[in-house]
Amino acid sequence: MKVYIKDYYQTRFGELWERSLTDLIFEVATRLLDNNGLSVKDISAVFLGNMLSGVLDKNLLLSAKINEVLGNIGLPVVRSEAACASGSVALYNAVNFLKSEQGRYVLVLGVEKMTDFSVDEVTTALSVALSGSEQMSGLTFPGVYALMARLYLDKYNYTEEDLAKVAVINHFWGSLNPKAQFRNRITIADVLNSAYVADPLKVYDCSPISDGCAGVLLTTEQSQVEIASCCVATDSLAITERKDLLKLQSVVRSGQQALEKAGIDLDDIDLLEVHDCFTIAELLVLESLGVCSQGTAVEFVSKFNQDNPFELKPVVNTSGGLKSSGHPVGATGVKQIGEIFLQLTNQAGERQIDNAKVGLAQNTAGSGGLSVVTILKK
Amino acid sequence: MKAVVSPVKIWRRQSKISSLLGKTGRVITYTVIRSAPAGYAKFSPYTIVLVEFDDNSKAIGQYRGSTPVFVGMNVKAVLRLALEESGDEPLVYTVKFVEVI
Repeated sequence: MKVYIKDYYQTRFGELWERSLTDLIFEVATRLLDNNGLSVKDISAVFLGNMLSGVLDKNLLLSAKINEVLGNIGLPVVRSEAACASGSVALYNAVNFLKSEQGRYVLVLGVEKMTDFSVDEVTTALSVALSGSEQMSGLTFPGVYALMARLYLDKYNYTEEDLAKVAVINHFWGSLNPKAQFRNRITIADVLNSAYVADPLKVYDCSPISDGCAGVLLTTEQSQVEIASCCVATDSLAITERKDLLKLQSVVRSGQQALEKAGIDLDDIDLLEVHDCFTIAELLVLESLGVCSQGTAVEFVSKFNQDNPFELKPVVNTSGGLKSSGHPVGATGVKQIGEIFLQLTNQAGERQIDNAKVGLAQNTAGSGGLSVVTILKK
Repeated sequence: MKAVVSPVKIWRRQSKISSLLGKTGRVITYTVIRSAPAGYAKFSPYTIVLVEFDDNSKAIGQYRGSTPVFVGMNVKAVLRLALEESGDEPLVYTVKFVEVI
């Protein structure tokens, strides 16, 4: 049984103070149904990715709430939580549901509402996905990636300017994405002059706090874009339990499995959406996926030329990545899939890649405790 | 925002700390946290080190030494207060690191 993406829709990502978590979900679900001439009754299930509604919003059992706003027809709604990879895990569950012949159409929705809360509250809520000892030490997510960043810079003799290149590129792409949180281009100097959050990472090395919802309509009916594979893999939760801190084993495993399952070589991939919660994260993912050998991702991103942005292959993070597009954590994985869908169906506007046929999305949870890799093909 | 830690959870965690106390190792990497989670503002900004002990196991904790931290520095695990004191909440202790002189 093959599974296809029939459509994609997302809200703008950013500070959406006028809309609640439920408003965001309602907008995405109804747009996907209306655009495709479907009603809720045509849907066999909804798969929801969300991390923080219980921790921040104090709202759980979103399944019933979603059923309620979609007309209370008793729809099966299943929520997945895997920190920043919640959206991709929801997709993984949806794909397997359809492959087991339980329905014809399903909705996958990723959502997060974060800007109602202070930076301290969000920092504390996100750190719930760190290990117990990490939390007890007062470590934060910028902090754990900062530990990896210093190790990386020291080992390969790179500088903070090299990390900054990733943020500059992702803002370039974000400037071309009307749904992105930040549409401004930035310079290396902007990054270097921003304040430290967790040394050596600065404000502009970090993805923002965002609201947003993204959704895909999946179907078993033949459609333009096929989900060739979707694989989940894990690593230890605590970074102290890892041998090589610069090789994200969950990314290595999920990447290899997804390529193998899809029967696709890495060289055949035209575009990637990878998890750049921090600049260092994108570099480590590119190396862990095998796009670059260890210690060379900086050389790869250094070749990027804004005057000819499609020249460097594969093209990475045309959505603007988490850095510029925004990072409503539960929505991010679904947005990555959506960006590749838009590229493969020639709907990516100013950032459209010519003749893209195969794309890979990689979504990390936490400091690398879990990773999902999904391959889409035309 | 207040950090809420159950006394039973504190007891379970603290019962394991003693095995780390006094162990020595080397700083592999470190960072300075400038945006702290709830319960840690009093210490902010604070340095966190990732330490590899002489038996190759690793641990994470705050560095509370008096000299500037650096990669390769020799450090020792000591017992320190983990969170800010807060009213009649139980005190929480954890492992932090100081330089080996």
